[in-house]
Amino acid sequence: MPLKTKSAQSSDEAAAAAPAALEETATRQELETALGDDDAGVRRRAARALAQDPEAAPALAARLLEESAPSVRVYLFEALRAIGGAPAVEALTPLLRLDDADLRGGAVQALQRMPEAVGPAMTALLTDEDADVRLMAIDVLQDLAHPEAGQWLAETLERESEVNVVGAALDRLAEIGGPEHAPLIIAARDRFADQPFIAFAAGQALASIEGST
Amino acid sequence: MMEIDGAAQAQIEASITDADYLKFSDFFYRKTGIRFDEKRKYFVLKRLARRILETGCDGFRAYFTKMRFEAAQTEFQQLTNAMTVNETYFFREEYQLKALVGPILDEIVSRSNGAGPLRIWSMPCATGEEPYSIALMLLESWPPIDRVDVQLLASDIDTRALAAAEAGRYSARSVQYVPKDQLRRHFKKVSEHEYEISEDVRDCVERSHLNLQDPEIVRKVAPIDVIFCRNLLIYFDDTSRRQAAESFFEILKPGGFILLGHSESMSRMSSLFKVRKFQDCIVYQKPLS
Amino acid sequence: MNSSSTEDIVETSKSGAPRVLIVDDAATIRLYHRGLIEAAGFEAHEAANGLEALETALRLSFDLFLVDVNMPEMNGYRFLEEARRTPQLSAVPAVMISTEAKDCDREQAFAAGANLYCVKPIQPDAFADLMTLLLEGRAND
Repeated sequence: MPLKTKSAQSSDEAAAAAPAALEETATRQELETALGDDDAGVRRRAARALAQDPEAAPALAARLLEESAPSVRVYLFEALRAIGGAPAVEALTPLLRLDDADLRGGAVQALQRMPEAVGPAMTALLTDEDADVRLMAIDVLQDLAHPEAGQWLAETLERESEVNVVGAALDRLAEIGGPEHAPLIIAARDRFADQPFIAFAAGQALASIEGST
Repeated sequence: MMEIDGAAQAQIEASITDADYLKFSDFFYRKTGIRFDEKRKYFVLKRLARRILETGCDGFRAYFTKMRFEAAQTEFQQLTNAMTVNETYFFREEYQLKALVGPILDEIVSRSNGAGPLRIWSMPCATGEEPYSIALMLLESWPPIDRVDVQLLASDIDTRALAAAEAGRYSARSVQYVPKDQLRRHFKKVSEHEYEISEDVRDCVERSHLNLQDPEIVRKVAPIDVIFCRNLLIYFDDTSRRQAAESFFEILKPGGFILLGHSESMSRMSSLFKVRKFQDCIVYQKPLS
Repeated sequence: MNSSSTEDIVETSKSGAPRVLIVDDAATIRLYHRGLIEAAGFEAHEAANGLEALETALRLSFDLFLVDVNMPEMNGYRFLEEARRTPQLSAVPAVMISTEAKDCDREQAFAAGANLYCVKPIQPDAFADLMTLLLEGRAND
């Protein structure tokens, strides 16, 4: 019967027959070189192997700028996320400025996973000259488990002049805002009285806060 | 499990406002892709109130803040467990099995053109209902089984579940969706409420004790054409889920498929796979190149 | 969460009204756009990122995609590229709604497969024009 009972070789034999994994023997330098290999499979394995090594963060981020294979980009971001801490934050935040939406988005998602390390960088990002960067910073706050997130959003509402940044901050406050945010939300609504969307978003945030137990 | 005061739970439940419920369901949807409809509100409120009590919080707001801002996200995982019921039985999500023995295997067979056996992996296989359902489906509803070599692998982290799969005894409730003629051919009634699956079917499945987080998982399992991974990843935290997605990516042959549970979506887990639709069934595919 | 998948597979909208898929990661924006779409008499559905949008669009048929740019897992450009490569989605008109007004963003949206490009936030009046455009598209089918 072709529905086989036993594999041709057992999985342990298969494991023994496979070539030794690249990551077991290679040095960081060799792995960093392998990030530029022609074979996407080699690049993915190198990225995964470098996920233990904080000193590899700059090389992983540099590779992201060159890398065209979507799957390898996923592995590079995952390696940076696993490294975490200040080296990863330092490597990832410059990506928030790029025109490449894949890299911006990957950086946002990776930064969301390192709340403690990204904390000290948040204020600078939220006050950046470039409104697109401020918007990316608000995106990081969408899913950042950091106790100061509410405070950062409050400060943003107070000073922000770009309508979409205010709208995004209001969206986040609908989830995490408290009664202490209500006056700021009302002030922002009044400041953007000519914007129907802000009126709507402020209304949503206020309803969420006021209707909450 | 903590003793729960019914009256206290009812009180908490009543204190959850419509705005709280909306905030919670928006959050849960953002994180999991699962959207609670009105029909499920009663159930969701009950489970939510229970978690609020069990964590010692005094109400929704305190609980939501605790869960939302906890760096390790352990309470979020607890909550996900509470919100999802997972019952296993034969021919569960039959539409997926039908898509398997229809267009999914057709595509794999026409692509592989007879090179090597076709390998299907059930992970986690729990007490065996899923891999045995796949075996029955292949034997009964997939004519090419007479000429195509198929290997059916089944793994679980839980050795007791694997032992139960090996014993192959199931309640009448578990086999209620097995067609009567198949029940006659492949099962033996061992007591009024219990059926034992035939050794022939059990022998179709190669069972193994494996942990998805095992660093050797790829070498132990690859290459695979179809992975059934239903109702597991939803219980993982974000990091484990991404690592699991990478492992599946390595384990699959190019063009291979993953089937997730009905309420699960790769859209909250990983962008490594392409979305495909076969019949009524959303399937995730490792790109061909 | 239940064993039946068929209940959420509907081929055409109940009312016969055009069906619009809102693709945006911000719940507030989805709700805002939903209000405008429903006020125009159309049926609105939502997805929180590009991948979920692909899943939804493969399950249901749509008359218009309203697509944000920056979203987790799959952004709006990738969604449009995938949709344009997928036979059953390739002809659905798509409006990209972006916070960015630079020429390069606009060009990138059209290259990915957008039919129209709008800058956020959407003004309700402009939205009515958009809907007219959608209806013309349907009439020409």
